[in-house]
Amino acid sequence: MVFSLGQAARTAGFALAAFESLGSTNAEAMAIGKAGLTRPTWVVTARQTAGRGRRGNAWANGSGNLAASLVMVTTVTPAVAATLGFVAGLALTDAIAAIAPYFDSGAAGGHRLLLKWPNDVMGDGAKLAGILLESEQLADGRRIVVVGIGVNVAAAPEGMPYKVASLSSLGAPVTAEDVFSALTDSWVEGVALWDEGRGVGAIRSRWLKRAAGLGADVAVHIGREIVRGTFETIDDSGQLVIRRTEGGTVAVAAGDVHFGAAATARV
Amino acid sequence: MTKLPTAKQSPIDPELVHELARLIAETDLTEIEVEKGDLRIRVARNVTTAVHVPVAAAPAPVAPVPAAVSAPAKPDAHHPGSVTSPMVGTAYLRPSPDAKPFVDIGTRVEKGDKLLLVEAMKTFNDIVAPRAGAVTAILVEDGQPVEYGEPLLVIE
Repeated sequence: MVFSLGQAARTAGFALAAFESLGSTNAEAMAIGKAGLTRPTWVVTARQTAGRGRRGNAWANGSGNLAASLVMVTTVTPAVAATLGFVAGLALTDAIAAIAPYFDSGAAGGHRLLLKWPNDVMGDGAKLAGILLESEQLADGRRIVVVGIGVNVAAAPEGMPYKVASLSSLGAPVTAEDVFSALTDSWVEGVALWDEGRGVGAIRSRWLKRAAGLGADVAVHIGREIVRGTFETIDDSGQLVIRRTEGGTVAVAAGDVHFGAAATARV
Repeated sequence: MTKLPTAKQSPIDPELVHELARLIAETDLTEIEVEKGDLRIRVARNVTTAVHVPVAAAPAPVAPVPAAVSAPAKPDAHHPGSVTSPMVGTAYLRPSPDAKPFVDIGTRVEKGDKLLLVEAMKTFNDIVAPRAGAVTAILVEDGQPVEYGEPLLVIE
């Protein structure tokens, strides 16, 4: 396996650290960031042995799948840095659509690849990729941001509590190397549009065009409470805006989100 | 929308007070407190609507108020040693559910030591100690929703 940056990423001065095998690309990326970063760097491996999901959940990586993390330094606030997750989701769907354009066209001209708030990438309603960001403050006040992206390219993990799929199982015969190169290029475009947070409005508009479950029932667990209603939109800070069943709207920054049937079932 | 109007020049914004009153009526909250510049407004149900300007100006702009948050103001909320949340999100005291907390009450920390995490939109931000000292209070629970500017713990 040979991973390489795309042409646009090379031109834009990104660096690449590719590994045969690695514990966690996010952990490696954070270590690279803390050691002193002169340019944004992609860390990538075809075999991640200790991938991390949300809150200590393991992220399973089958052979032939992609694990990649981008590390950058920014001066924006943590709240603005969090909107990079939307940039990442869009960059990944753009990348897949670029290398397999026929694949993304769904029935009635819609997309098969959709984004589930905040940043899961779904293919035909099943989870194809997960995105997890971590940020740490440097002594000078700037922040290191690591954007971790795991993509089921060749195979989806088994025994997950939700529907999962791989690009291969959905009929997109692409490799992890193809996806990675295209992703590094679409990231250049996305992060330029994001523009240190000044372009969040443009990112939001693009994201909403690929949003899964807009207008559908949604339930979010926040701490010990559950907010129920319909998914109305996301606001400019990326929060999920829910029209509550009992009236009024509420903006949610973090929580476990269930759409559709799972939202109306007792959860 | 629970997103509040952005800062205006007038020290007392009747719209904001109305918005808060409406919010409080819609939710089960007993009180809502927001800070905007050096203005702090607290709206409480069945009590009084209090508007007061604190002596020390707080640098917190208005943040969205998720209706699902019901933590009342705490006694340590305006302690000079309090470390506040830089964003709306969920606070975590541990790196993962089965790990040890980053700090406990009594832990001595150096400037830059990791204290907790605040998550928003699957972004985990570390909150580091702004100064050296001892942790004397932890004001949030593991997994609790927090507001912008909400005190998380106290270092003295």
